[in-house]
Amino acid sequence: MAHSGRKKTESQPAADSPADPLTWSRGTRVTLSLLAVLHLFIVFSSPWAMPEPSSQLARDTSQLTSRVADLLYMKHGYRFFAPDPGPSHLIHFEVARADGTTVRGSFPDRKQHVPRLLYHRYFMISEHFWNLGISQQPDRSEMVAELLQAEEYLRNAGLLRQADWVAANRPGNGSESLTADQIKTIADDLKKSGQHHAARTAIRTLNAVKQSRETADRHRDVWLNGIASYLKKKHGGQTVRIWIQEHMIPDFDHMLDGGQLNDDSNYGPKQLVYSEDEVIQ
Amino acid sequence: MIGSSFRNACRAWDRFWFHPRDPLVLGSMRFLAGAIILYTHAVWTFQLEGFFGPAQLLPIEHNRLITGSLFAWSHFHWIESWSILWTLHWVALLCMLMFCLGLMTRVTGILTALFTISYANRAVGATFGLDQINVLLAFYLAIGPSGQSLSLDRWIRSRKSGKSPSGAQSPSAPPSILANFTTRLIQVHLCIIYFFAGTSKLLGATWWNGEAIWGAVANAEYQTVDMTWLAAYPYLINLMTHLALAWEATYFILVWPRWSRKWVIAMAFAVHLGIGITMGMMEFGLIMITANLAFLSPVLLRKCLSAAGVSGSTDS
Repeated sequence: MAHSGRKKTESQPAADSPADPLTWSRGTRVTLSLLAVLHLFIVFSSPWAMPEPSSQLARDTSQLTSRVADLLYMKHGYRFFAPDPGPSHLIHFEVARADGTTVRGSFPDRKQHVPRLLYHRYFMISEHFWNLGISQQPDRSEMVAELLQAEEYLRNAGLLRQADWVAANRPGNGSESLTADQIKTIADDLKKSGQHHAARTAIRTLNAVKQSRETADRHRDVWLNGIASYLKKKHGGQTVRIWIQEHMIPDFDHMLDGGQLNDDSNYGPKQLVYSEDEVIQ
Repeated sequence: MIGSSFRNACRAWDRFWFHPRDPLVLGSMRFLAGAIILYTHAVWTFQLEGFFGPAQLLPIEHNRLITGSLFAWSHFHWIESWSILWTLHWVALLCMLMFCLGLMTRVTGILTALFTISYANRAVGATFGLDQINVLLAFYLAIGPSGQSLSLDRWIRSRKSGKSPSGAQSPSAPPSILANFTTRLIQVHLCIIYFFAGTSKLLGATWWNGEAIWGAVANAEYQTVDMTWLAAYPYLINLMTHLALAWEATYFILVWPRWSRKWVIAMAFAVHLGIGITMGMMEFGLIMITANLAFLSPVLLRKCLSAAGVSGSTDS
């Protein structure tokens, strides 16, 4: 901003557009500089904070800028193929019609979903669906460590029932979420046994687990009901069943031994997630 | 001493952001990004009601839950009539076509950016990197004078001013500070993207053990060209993995010095084209290549266009 607003340098070619003179006033440059810095800070803050792991500073900063980032569709993690390129996921469905016939299909399906970009849209649906409940959760390793500690304190204090609740609610164990009362009981019992710090971390972590699980379950219910309703309408069906399946990446040896990417051994089991108007938890 | 350093820093800042630049590169980016954005949205036509209808594959309630913000807006949130849905879709495609061709670019650029954001916000769950870069380029190209070059607007203006639309007398678009300012925003935004894309890979074991590229080429759902023969050459897979990571993680630094820029950009072309051809994401590959054009020198581009028979000097 050292140049005067009106000064022109000789090296600059002449402009023929009065709307964009070759120099802008100092005020314009200062304003635009501030706007550019603010804008790029907003752009930076989203991938800085998500997906986890990320610092509290990054998460709180991103929270401040998230509305503008949302407005401009610039709240992204930009973690392409990170941290590792992983297996892909398929949605399979079966629609039963009133006349007894059934329609079976999958997302994505190379034959049905053309052009390729449309195939990729269906592929993303199955990938996003698989990720529900995982990407929504805070740092799982930290949560597991905190809950293991709380569980240990509870067991040492002879509070075995409460310790079992905590064990059942560690991320990945897939059991029912604790009620608010159960969380309060655990925290009270930890406090009674003098474990005030453990009580605080346990209550925070258990609440976070509970909230993220409930949010993920809600997403899953709404989405599955939507997909089921779409499939019923599209195929004129009465009932729908939906499965999800993982397609793993084979290792080098599998291919060198004459194996193929689509060999049965590369597929995980089909998990039924929706049947007869009901989401399977 | 401090005062002089501050003045030097201010001068450097001014040179970086507020130096006039030939808008030819922005014009080329508008044409290419506009074509990709048009194609991306034209493909929705095959399943418009299925993806954008209120109770379909992507239910509105799910959309609101997953974005979790009223600021993640979309005009589709308020549309319940199929006829309005289709009418607005055709209007959007028309705007994108006009933007691509550089017709009424100032207006169609802003409308294209708004439509692109709106479609992407509504289709969360079926979106990926392509939509992110589409929005990025639509947004910046709407701000900058992308219609000043290689556009119907320019051609019409030349006709009206009595100068030959294709002759040598027609002047090239004047250098513009706004063109430079916009180009810089795209460049820095790209650096942020590559920085996070690169550094986040450092958390992954396969990027360290050299097998990450295998994870990409041996994924049957992505695969469009069979590259599994690479299994016989594990050193090659390791080398490709390490090179890809080194390039991506250092892009934000090495793209600035002149001596390394050409290699960084050449690598960007190779990687994105490779992903496009072998993993069936050609649109994503092309939009990333288009974004990387922001680092191309207008002089070099002018020479390339002249060699290809497009008169860059006349912008006709």
